[in-house]
Amino acid sequence: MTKIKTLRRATTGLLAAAAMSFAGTAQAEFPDRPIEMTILFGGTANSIAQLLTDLMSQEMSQPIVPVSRTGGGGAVGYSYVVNTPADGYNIVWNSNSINTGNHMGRIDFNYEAFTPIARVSTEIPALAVNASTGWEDLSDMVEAVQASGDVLRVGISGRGSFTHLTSAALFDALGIGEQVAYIAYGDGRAPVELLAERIDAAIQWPGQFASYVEAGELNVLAVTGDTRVNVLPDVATAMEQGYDVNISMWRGLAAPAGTPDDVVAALQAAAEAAVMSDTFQEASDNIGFTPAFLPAAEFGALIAEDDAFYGALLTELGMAQ
Amino acid sequence: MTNSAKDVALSLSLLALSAVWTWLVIDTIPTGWGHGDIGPRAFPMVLGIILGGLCILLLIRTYLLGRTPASKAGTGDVDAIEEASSERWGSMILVAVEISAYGFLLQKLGFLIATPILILFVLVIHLRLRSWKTILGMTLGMTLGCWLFFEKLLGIYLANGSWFNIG
Amino acid sequence: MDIFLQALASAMTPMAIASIGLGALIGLIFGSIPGLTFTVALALALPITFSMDPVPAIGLLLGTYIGGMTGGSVSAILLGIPGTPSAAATVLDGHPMTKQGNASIALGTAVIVSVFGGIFSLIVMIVSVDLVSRVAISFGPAEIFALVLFGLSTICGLCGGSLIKGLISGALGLMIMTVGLDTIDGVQRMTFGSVNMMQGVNLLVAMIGLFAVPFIIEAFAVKTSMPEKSQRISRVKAELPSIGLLGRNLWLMIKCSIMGTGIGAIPGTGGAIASFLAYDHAKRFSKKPETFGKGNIEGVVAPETANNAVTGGTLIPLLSLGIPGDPATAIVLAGLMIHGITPGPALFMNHAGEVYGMYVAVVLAYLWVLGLQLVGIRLFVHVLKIPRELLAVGVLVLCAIGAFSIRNSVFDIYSMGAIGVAAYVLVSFRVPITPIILGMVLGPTLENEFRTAMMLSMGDPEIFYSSPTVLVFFSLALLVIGLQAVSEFKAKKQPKNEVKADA
Repeated sequence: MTKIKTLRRATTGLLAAAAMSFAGTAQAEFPDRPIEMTILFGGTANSIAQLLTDLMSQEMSQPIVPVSRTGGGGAVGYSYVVNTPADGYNIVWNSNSINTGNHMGRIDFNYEAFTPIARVSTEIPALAVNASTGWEDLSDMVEAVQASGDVLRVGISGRGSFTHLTSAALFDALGIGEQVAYIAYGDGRAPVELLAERIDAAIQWPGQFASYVEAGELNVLAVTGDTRVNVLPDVATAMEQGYDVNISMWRGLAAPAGTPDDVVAALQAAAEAAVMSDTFQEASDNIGFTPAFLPAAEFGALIAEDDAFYGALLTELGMAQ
Repeated sequence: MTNSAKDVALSLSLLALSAVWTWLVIDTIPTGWGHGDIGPRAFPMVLGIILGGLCILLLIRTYLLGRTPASKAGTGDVDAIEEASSERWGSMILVAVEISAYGFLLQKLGFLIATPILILFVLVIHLRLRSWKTILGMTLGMTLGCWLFFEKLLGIYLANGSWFNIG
Repeated sequence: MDIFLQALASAMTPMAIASIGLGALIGLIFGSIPGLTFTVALALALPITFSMDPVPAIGLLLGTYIGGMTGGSVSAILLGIPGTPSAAATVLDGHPMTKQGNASIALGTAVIVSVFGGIFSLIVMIVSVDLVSRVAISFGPAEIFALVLFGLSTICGLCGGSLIKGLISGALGLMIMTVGLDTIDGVQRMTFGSVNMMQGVNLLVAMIGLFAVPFIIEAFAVKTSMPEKSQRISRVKAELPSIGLLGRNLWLMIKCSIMGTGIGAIPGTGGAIASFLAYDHAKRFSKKPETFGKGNIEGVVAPETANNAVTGGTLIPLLSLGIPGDPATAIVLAGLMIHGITPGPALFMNHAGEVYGMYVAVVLAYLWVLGLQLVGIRLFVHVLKIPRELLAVGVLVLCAIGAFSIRNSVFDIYSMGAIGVAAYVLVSFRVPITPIILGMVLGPTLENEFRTAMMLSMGDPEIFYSSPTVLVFFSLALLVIGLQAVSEFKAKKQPKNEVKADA
């Protein structure tokens, strides 16, 4: 391991040297020291970030170091980065949690405290049920639930979590929002609870369901984004099925507000190259996310748009602070 | 302090803690939504009350039965504490100061400067060592050894200073 | 059979063997240095596996995991500071053995029984992964709650003479873990509005504080009060356990392996609960229960067998259900996913080759661990030659690095100090602190499973008495508490006959 690390260091060093010689005399060129990328969550967020920093480091003259600052639903990491100088040497691997965290009162600043750099990926939630229900698509489920009049037990990761917000929006759009009881689990337990029939439906990431779908134990009824996902190509989106829901989780990079434009541009270019690389595309299929590069300006507009959406949704759920 | 005096002091201070805790919990944490939602308040509140109850039991036992069973605590070496001497409390306070100061310095000056300062302080002021060989060896050895092993060899991030930074 | 031979071939390449060995070494180092934990080592190893082939990559991660699990016992035995929460039970008898000069025997036993437990659980896993995962599925929130409650009842066996003080200590541990952002409702609890408090108290940070800080304070205090006295923890010898000693404990090892595998297979529990239950079991059924806590070898055999048997056990929900049992296996899961090996029921159809390769990798990892550790013991024991106060200085720096590196937060160094000082005060008031760590390990699971169960039943407590599994665990917990209360009551009748301290 150390050998590989040293090897990689050496390679990076060589690349750096090469880059320097091309750059010629431009001494104050960004970056002249390592950049720190704060990671807010473990799991998939961490895996993608590790890969991204690795690939971005190959694009830049200095390495990007992933540093994990988890906890408080992202609040800890955001608070750290927002207090660092706006020079591009501290960036954050952010997500919709900047919107929800602010509206739920976990952080006392909002998305405007950050300069967007680039969107990197999206993850589209999927709704799964036990195969023994016989439900194949959303309307099967809606009809069955309306006919029985029973409460549908829906597994979520936690109140106010992304899976909770997605579920709330989806079931409202399906018109059965009143017949749903949310059961909070830690992460990742949903497939098992579905198998054991302790819950009736669950929204989680498609990667968690893929193996069960293949084994014929679970049915995925819909994905909630505007495109289908690679892991489950046969599953139609909610919009295709006639329900107006379009929610996906984006992840991207941001720096403290006021970071100079040329620094943002340099980081954006590195992120673009990393996202377009074969390694990243291949990993996306395996981990179950979609590479979705979006440059700074469009990314900023998306965040602002999302902020209004989640603000309204959380107010509706009575969770806004 | 005799053992039973210790038990009284312990149960009274923990009783106060549990009272403050329970009050704060009830004051600041919202209840559940009903319909099976236990809510975030229930557990800390019940635990506070249980702690209070246990302290009262301990108090009653110490007073009424007037005896305390010999109980040694299990932290390996530490069960050697028989009498709390002033050296022990002094040492405890110094260690607390050392840890806090180290944390603060790590944040401000980074690992490579904070570590030798801490080690020098501990060896020279706290332990009153006078052997310069040991002091120098420990200070430089620990700092450079840890830095080379963790930061350079394994690539673990050690704190960088926010005031200024070397390495 | 073909596929197995293929797997054997892919796992026996020099690259794979070397990376498993490297993983085992890194795991051992991180597990055995006080303050550092193998969760950090795994996080470190993960990015390196990106560019490797699947089998060596997974081998590296599994090697680190297994090495770390085994290495945790080293500092537990030598210094009384557990390297992982799973090794906290090993401190109770392992460290007294060191003070009696038997460090190398304790270390040797620990590694041999660890390998035994690990291989045993691997065999169980290979033979019955399907069956066990079906049983694991039947463990819902109510069942896990009951199991965890049973685990908590072992506090009774850890609190020496005073049941009340043990319970106080356990309650404190449970309380500490409620601080922070509540995972179910996303509400802040006892954070006083501070962002740092929102992340709560990390279990590993608390563990470092609880065990290492009192060690440091005590070493410094003895040095300052008696500066002329040279402090050595004990004499050094490098003697390995005899075959006879292991043979006598074979039945205990088998029982603890079964226990560890079973508990590991249930998602959300893990090594600490297994090792404490095993310790409690060994003490309860020992011929000489009064020698526990004073260096009884059975007190090392039981928890070490059980916590390594958990490694095979956790692979069952990890591979067949895709559920990581703890933060460490979550990183192994990430490694699998990146290499396109998606755990779940279809894994055994799609990736049989890789799965068999992993089995071989686990065996290789244990062989590496055994080899490295048997050599390592000869080196480790020399740590005891270092004067204790200088050792404590090193421990202080390493623990600060360890606490910091878990999530790169200086706040964690402060919490380590605060918890450590509080632990020292408690110890001087004769409150046992092992129950705190037990309360901390089990607290979040206990609360979350209870709340989830109540949500599932829509507030109907029937969920807790309608399932036979739940009732069995509840009765076991009651039995343990009852037996302890009776024995304390008997001791009370004869005040002169002091209860032997054994926590």
